[in-house]
Amino acid sequence: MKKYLVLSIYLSFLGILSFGQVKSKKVSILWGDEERESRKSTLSDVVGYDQTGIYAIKTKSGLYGLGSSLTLVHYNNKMSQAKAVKLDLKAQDKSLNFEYILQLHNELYLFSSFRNQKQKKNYLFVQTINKNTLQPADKPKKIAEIDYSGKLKYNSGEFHYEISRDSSKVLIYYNTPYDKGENEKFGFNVFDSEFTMLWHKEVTLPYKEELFDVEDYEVSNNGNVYLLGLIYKDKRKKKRKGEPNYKYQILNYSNNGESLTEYPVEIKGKFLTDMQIAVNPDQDIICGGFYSNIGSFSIKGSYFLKINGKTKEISHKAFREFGIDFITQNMTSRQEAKSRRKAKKGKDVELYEYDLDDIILREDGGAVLVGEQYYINMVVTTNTTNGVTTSRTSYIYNYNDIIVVNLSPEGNIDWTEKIPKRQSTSNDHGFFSSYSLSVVKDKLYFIFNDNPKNLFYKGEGKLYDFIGKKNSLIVMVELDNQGNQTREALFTAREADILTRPKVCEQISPTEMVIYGQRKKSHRFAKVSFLD
Amino acid sequence: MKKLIIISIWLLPLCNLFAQTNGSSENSYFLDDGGISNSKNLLKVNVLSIVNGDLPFYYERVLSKSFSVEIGAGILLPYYLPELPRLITNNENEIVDPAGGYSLWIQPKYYIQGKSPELRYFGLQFRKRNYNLKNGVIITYDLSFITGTQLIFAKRMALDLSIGLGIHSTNKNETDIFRFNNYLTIPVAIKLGYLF
Repeated sequence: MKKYLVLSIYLSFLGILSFGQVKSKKVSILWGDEERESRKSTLSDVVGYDQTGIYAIKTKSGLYGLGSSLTLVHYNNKMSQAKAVKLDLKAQDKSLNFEYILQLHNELYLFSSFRNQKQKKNYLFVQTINKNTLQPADKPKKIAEIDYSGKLKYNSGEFHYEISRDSSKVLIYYNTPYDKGENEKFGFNVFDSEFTMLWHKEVTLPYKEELFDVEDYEVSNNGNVYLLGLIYKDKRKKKRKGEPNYKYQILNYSNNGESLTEYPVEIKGKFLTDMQIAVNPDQDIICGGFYSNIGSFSIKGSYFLKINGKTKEISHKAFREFGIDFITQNMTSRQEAKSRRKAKKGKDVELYEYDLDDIILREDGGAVLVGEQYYINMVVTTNTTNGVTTSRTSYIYNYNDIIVVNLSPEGNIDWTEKIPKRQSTSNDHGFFSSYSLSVVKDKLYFIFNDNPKNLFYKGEGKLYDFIGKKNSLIVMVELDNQGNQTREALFTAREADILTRPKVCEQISPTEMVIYGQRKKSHRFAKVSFLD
Repeated sequence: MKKLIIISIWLLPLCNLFAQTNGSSENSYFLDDGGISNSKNLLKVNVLSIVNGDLPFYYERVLSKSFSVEIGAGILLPYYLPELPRLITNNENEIVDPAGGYSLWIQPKYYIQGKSPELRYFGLQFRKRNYNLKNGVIITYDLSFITGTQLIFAKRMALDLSIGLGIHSTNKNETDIFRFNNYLTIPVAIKLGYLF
């Protein structure tokens, strides 16, 4: 027994040492105080940052995770809590619904809504937040409304926002209440940075609501609105008779909403499985995504389109197939052999269940597409005890490899890289899974929770699952502008006493990122500074 | 000139009044919903239990953001139809030819989806029914776990749909008031009401 104890102490010491040796020297980490909070409490979003620190929203959920309360928290530059105020959204004795908080030109703005049952109107309000008191500094100002006459208040539309690249314009986009069989309707209000309305437009499209989805929307520096729509041909089905049954369409509202230009984005015989749009500083629309030969659940390659903002014409198109070597990356030798056999027979071999997360515009005019494999498995286990059979359903949340596609300033697809990652957790909605991304100069940094056995993974053989345990390792993958990747350890979950929550971590300056982690009742912020 | 000064002095407070109302009266208009969003009381009737020979009226009071309590009283009609699952099983029915009576209900509710009294909730319902029969009185007690959804529509109307699972106990022994026959019960309710 004593022998085992000595051995295990020795081994764990060795383990710590080995991680200690490979810990990244490309970053410095400033840890905040460890906070003890309720297990039901978590970070919802980092909503702002300035020279005094960061501002974050924390939620504490009630029974069954519902009926949550919101707290606005200010953390100082040492990442320690400086002030926390519970948000009580009341105006004239009426409770308002929290929508979001956003930062614009160093000011924090609080958005709230009120569904007026008497008038059948859903109103959106904005008010500034005093950064010292963390309380609203002025009265709510109404900036948008949705009429839901004839509908239940539970179907009263939703408000969304988008900020232009230079933060000079704010788009409030809203869905009108769903009405099956009716034509798709939505509206947008475009504001300047002081929330003075510049123009407003309500649109009725010639497509039925159930056959049209808004996938993405953008506002340019000069106040033009771009909307990416997915249009189904007849039925809401992605595939009919082996052919795509949908198409993407970009709608451009310019000239204060007076002019509409439509850009259908279609490739004959190919399924465009994902698409995102962005507006570059020249006001061109950059549009990228993945395509498939066989359906909408798999991808075979990536594509890129550039629409000239002035002439409104497609100025550049590019497609690139991933190729069998890329597809078989990070596969076990058995999976690889199977895929290669299939490809040799002339069958389509594709990557499955990838979602396009982001399109990042680089300063040199190029762009980067980032996607991740994500799917959910349902596992039913049955157990018979004393003749009584019970069954239990578990949902396994899988967040796997990350794909990065690099587009040159000329619009060509330069390289495509896959970052190996396996995250598989059950019944937690992937709370500690996925990744956070920082763009520092011409490099991309991905941070995520990983299994320590993957630290020296070279792209071949078995990858081990991160399963949310305390022995996990928080890693950083650096991807340079040539597509070379290096994987390094940041810290272990054991030493920090937390697991990071990559989905809420955020880049706060060109060289800094805030990471947040929690485990049981321990909560902690850290600031990662990229030294390169 | 003097006149003008006097008029201006008179008008000055009025201007001030307009300035004040312009900002806050705008919000007063947007937030004026006739008190609907602050209403904490509901009066309801269970339309489905009429089928079973019970006509209860309920009063629901919101106690907090998630909790409310519902109390009810009803008159028992001169007929009786058992609830599920006794309606479809062949259990002997103790209540034959009732001549009226009364029912009492109480149900604390916990709303899990929205602010009470709206959307999905869980509740624990206790019900007592006193049936007057030709040859005496039968008292039934129910204790059921309830799940339901309450929707507010047409400004102040309420629709409460619920289903539950519990124990239904019947006492028909006048000499031994502690002797009960116990059955499984699945209470289903459709309640219509008014929010005020």
